[in-house]
Amino acid sequence: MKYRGIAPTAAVAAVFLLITTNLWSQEFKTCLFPTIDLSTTDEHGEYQSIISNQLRVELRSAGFKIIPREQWDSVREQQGVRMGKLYEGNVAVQVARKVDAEIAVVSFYSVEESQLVLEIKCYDVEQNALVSGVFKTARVNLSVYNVIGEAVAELIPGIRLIGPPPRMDSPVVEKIALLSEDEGAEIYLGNEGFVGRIENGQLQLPPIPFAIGSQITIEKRKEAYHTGVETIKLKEPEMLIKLKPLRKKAQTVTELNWTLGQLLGFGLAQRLYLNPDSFFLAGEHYFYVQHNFADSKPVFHHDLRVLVGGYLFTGPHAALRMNLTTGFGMIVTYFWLSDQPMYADFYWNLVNFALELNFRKHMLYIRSEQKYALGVGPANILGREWISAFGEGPTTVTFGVARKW
Amino acid sequence: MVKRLLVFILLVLACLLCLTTCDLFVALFSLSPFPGYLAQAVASVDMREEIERFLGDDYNHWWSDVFVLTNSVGTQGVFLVIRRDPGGQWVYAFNSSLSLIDKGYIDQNTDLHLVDANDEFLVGNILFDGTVHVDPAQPGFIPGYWRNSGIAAGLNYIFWINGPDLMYDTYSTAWVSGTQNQFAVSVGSPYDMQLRGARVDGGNVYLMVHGYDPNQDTEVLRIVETPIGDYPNFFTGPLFTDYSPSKPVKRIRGESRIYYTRKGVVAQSYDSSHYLLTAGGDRIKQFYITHEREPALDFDIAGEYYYIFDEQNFRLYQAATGF
Repeated sequence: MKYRGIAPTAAVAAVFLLITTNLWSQEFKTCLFPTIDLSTTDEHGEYQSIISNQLRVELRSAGFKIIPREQWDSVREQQGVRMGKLYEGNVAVQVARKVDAEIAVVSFYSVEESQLVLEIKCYDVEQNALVSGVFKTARVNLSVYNVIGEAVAELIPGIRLIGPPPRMDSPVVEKIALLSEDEGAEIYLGNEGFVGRIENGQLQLPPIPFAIGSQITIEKRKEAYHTGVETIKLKEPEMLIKLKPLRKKAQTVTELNWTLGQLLGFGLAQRLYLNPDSFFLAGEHYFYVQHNFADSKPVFHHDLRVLVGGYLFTGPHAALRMNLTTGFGMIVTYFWLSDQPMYADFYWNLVNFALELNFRKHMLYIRSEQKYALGVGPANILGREWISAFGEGPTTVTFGVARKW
Repeated sequence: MVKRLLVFILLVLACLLCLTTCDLFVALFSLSPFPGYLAQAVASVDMREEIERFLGDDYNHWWSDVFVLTNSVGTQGVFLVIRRDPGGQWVYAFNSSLSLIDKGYIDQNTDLHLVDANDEFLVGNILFDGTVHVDPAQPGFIPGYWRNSGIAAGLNYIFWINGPDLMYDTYSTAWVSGTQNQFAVSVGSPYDMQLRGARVDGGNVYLMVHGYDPNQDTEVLRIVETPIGDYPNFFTGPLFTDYSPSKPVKRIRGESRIYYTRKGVVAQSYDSSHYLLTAGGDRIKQFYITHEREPALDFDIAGEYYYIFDEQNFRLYQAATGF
């Protein structure tokens, strides 16, 4: 009975093996165009042949059938396409189609200030669709060769996994333009990988025949910002998509808050993130005056505490976030009335539970606080009990606003 | 710009000033995890040394009480009673500005407190004279730990409620034992009631009676105003029939003492705040003294100040009521 499930498992494995072997052994007719150097000088032209050769070797060894250059070059000349334009997907696909290629591979690079930027793209000729792309950057030194090797190696699996083209019963989206205020953000598109950067507030996506009604997942990456992911439903042939702004990784947060039972005063707190927008240390000082408005003399309280906490469940882009904190504190009390001693009540801030409305730079929050006076120290007022303005139960409620830095 | 800012600040201050007359605003902004009496304190006295000397190390627990009594010539005594189990009690006598006048010790624990027929203060079975000094002529032991209320009306009367009956013992003016007589008057309720306070003022004795009221299906407080002149003749009862009590006041904490002042009756509610009530049982205001359930607390008869003992810090406070 122990081996009861082995037969169906083996059958599934066998089918899987058969399918993958079939895909593996497919010999795609591939049009490999020369690598284009887009640098402003000719100083680094030697990488053209290095990259082209490495691509050729890898594609061949992976079973791709490379169409000889003579075949597609004559077509190129007939069509009047300059060699230097062969890094553009549309142009390359048109040439490749004329020689019955199934796959067109274009590659280009530029070297600026000793920094090499390399991009290799692979198109499904029949579908005029990008099927795989790799984007790499490297310093111009010996490591360039490794980076070229890595880029080629990453490209191949993406090509192998193309299957029969999906049946398109519905019209496709012809044009997708992304608008974003995150200048320079890298855009990654689902399985397609890197598709470009936001420049001048926009990015035109390469032509990919997404069906109208389908969804695409866009990932935005930018230095010092949290990676953002958006899923967009494609509703029209021409889509102009305004991307949500990325959230900057906050290092610190300044809080201003009010606690019920301590309303004649306010608190100031500073959070220091150990992990941006996730895990933090906080120090808080709440000053308030106790006064009853009837023959009353003020009593002054300084509540000082240190907390450690973190967020649960939702990430930094979520509109509503929840965090938990815990820590220790001390309330120093002194009187307007003369000849009164000064008191210090030490407490354990057992747990605080906060719900935050999370905006780009600010937060509004409500927090329940459970503080337990420890009754230690030479002079304290509260003894050992829950600290609450309501007498019954441990909870105190704080409202606050916070600014991220 | 500066002018506008000044006008704005003045408007905000004016609004705040107006709001301080609003009960909800005052209640909300007066909330504090710290005792309310701290902000009402006008004087305090540190009793740590005295009390720690008395308590020593060999006791199970200790507790305290505060009584404020005023005799017929207007002399006010503030009495702090510190009880130790086992070990009797010390009674510390202060004047109204918290200067310690005298103190007395007795080897029993009792919470009797009244101005007696000789205009002297009997607190915890220790007699203090009209200058709040210990009277050399002490009464004999007066039994009855829970007979916590007493009045003087020609004779000395000590009250308590036993089941459905209001019981009172009478003593001679000199507290001579052997002259004790016990009487019982029906309260007028078949349910257990408790006498939570009694005070003589202006020819009347105000009795604060707390217990279950079947008509309300909950515990209630009733304030009963009885003419002092009726006491030597004894009641014929029942109490609630002969003397019309106040309307029932709900949500009053039964285990706490209830205090009579000339500005109203003060009782602690379930939510730990205190109510100031008319003799008819109507609520005048709600205010906060402490979350403690049975604080060592008493009010002066004028309703100007209350006196409360902080057991945590051995400090006796005089605090303004703000009534």
